[in-house]
Amino acid sequence: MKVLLVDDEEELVTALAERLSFRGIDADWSTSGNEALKLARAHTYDVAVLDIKMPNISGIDLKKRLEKMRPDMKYIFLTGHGSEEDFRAGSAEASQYLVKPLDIEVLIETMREVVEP
Amino acid sequence: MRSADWRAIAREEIRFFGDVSAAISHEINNRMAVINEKAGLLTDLSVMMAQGREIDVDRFEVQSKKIVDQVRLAKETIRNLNRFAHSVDVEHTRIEAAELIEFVVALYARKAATAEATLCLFESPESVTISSNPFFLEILIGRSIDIALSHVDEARTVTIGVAAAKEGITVKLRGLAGLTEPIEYPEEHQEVPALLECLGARYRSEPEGAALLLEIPDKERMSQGRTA
Amino acid sequence: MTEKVLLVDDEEEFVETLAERMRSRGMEVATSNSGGDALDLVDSEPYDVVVLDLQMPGMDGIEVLERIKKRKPDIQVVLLTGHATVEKGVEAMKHGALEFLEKPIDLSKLSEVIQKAKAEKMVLVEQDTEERIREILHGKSW
Repeated sequence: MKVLLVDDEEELVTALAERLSFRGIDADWSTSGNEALKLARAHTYDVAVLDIKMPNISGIDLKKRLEKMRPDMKYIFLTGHGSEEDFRAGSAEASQYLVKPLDIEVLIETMREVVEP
Repeated sequence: MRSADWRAIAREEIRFFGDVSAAISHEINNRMAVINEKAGLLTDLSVMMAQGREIDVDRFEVQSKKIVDQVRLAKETIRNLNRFAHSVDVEHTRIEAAELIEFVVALYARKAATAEATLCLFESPESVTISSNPFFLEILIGRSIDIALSHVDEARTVTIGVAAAKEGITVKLRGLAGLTEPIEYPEEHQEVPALLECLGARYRSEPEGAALLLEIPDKERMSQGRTA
Repeated sequence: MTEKVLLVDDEEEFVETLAERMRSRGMEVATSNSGGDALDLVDSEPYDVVVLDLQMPGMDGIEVLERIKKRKPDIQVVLLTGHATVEKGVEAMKHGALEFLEKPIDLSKLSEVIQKAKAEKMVLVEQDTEERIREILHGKSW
């Protein structure tokens, strides 16, 4: 499974990528929408894990742009808190969302569910 | 209503907001303090290991798990903070009373511990709802707990429950001693009467002074009753 | 000489971890979870420094500080708080605290304060002993 991780918090996203790689999952990371788009243009990913709230672009807008590029890619959203708006946004997108701080096992299980339902 | 009353209510809203925020920041800082020590310990252990000292490798996992525990506790506190922050989103809505009380009890856990008392919830057999301002209710229940904590009996346990009343709800706080009417407020809570008046609510104490009652009318139910 | 320290905080994980880290650094550390218990320990053991949390259930830190200074004026007390303000700091010093630190703790700073306290205490004890010897030698005729 190949994963694209996008979160503006570099410490978080690099730690996640490393921990996933220890568990045999190939993960690329970026801290901005533009970098994410560049990576998605260059490589094929099974699933993209996107932070919902980022400084320059929302996770949902980024998803829309990525979808045009990679129609088969699946998505998981990360949110700081299970607030009403995030829930509604996530379910409107018919996507999975996970609340930070993450449990890595839950993340991996969710990625598997989303990629091979 | 006199304008002074709205000022008093606003003052009490801000004060309650300040009290709860301070308590939450204190709690989160305590979690940070533990996490900080655990991280330091992990560093110490790895340094000692690199120096060739005998270190039980299991200790790394055990201590890391403790960090995760502290994160979980902090996350619970943060969820409460988030819920508290959003309790001012709507000014009027139908509220599940027992659930709101449980939330305020969670906010007051640390305060109760400092007063060396425990807060317990009394299960109500059926759901009790009231149409009101959620933030105002949180304040009144919070201030009720403050009054209860300063009158708790030797068992040092305050049990809180809610029941439907003819025209609204009655919140009952048991496990007290020597509570008499008129109910006295600590100096910092002098604006509570203005809030009670705004909601048409009132405090009563039970005859032996062993319980505090907070009666809150459901204005919607009352107005429906009148038109019926 | 080894510093003999008593750590007092109601947060179990915090106090036990801090104690272990201080012991790895050569200090002799005892722990307590309450002010009342700490006062009993202070009566029975010769501590150099007591490190005490300001915000504990039951007896608050300032009260414990006052009682320690009354019973054992030689013991140095370091106060810990979640949020250090100038007012709290002034109050702490007025009641005889040696130092006032904020959590999360900087262990190197705390260790430095404890070592200094121990060194000062030894000087005071030496001076005290010297004075008593002098009194005996130059004392009233037998």
